[in-house]
Amino acid sequence: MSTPTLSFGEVSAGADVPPFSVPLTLQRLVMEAAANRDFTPIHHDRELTRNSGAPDPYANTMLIQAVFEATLRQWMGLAGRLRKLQFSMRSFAAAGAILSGHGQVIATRADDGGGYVDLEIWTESGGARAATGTATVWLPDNGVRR
Amino acid sequence: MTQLVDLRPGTWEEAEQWVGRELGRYRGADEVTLGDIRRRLEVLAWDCPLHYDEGVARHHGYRTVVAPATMLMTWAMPPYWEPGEPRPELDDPALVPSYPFTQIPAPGEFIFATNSETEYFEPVYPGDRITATSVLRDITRKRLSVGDGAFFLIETTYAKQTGEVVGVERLTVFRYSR
Repeated sequence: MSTPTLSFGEVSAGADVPPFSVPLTLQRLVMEAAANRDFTPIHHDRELTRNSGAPDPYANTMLIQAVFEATLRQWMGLAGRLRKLQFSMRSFAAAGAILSGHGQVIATRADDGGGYVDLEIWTESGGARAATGTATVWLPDNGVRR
Repeated sequence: MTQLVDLRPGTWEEAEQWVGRELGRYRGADEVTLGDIRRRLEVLAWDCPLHYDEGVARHHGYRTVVAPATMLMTWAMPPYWEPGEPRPELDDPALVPSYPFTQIPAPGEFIFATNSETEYFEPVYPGDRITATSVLRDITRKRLSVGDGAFFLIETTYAKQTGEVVGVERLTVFRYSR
């Protein structure tokens, strides 16, 4: 990953955050369960998931949070700090599709040594917006932490 | 996170009596390790040196390699078995994490998360041990297309062994009958 270091002054409302994507195979959902320790069957067991009414095992909250953090980190570089993440689940991010994180800057607020950046964030999966919400990150003035 | 087992049965009146109540205080099964952090990066093929290169992390103001902020739920996950507990049987129900909201007595055999909001404070490092304290903040009855049920708003505060707060999460789950 190239890691640019974004400064607060370089960011303005309307700026796009490049997507970060992961192919959501059933195997990768199993790896995810091993990494996040949530072994609830609807995140890796196809038969049980279909009995619950969902089409296929799907991403859990922790995976979606991580995709958003990776998306924001790839964009803001190493000096920024994630301060807040909020999202609602709109549809299942099910196995067999690419899951990608996206963002767009809504507003900026200068603060001592840098400033806060508010963003609209969303995931896309199977052609739909699966999770939508907002995030706040802190960026330094010069790309160097105080 | 729809789940099919282990939800405590009860009435909506019983559930409403739990508003304001501490649902539980869970200390994570293990301390934070570099291996946990590495496996988080591996799943996403997420190359961020703050999470594996000590020199880079220090240069950016961290004490050492720092964990991704969004791993809080993992750090506070209770164990699925502990010494002294019964050994598994083939026909046992599937294991699910003992999330605190599963203890709220209410109708409905299904539950899924609808909204997640987390504020992040102190960084988490290898060696930290995270404890989560959850409080039921609100219950709102609602009929959705999937069934009749209610939204539960659960606020969880994540803290280190030192007492420093690393995050506050407000999770909304929908508990319902089909």
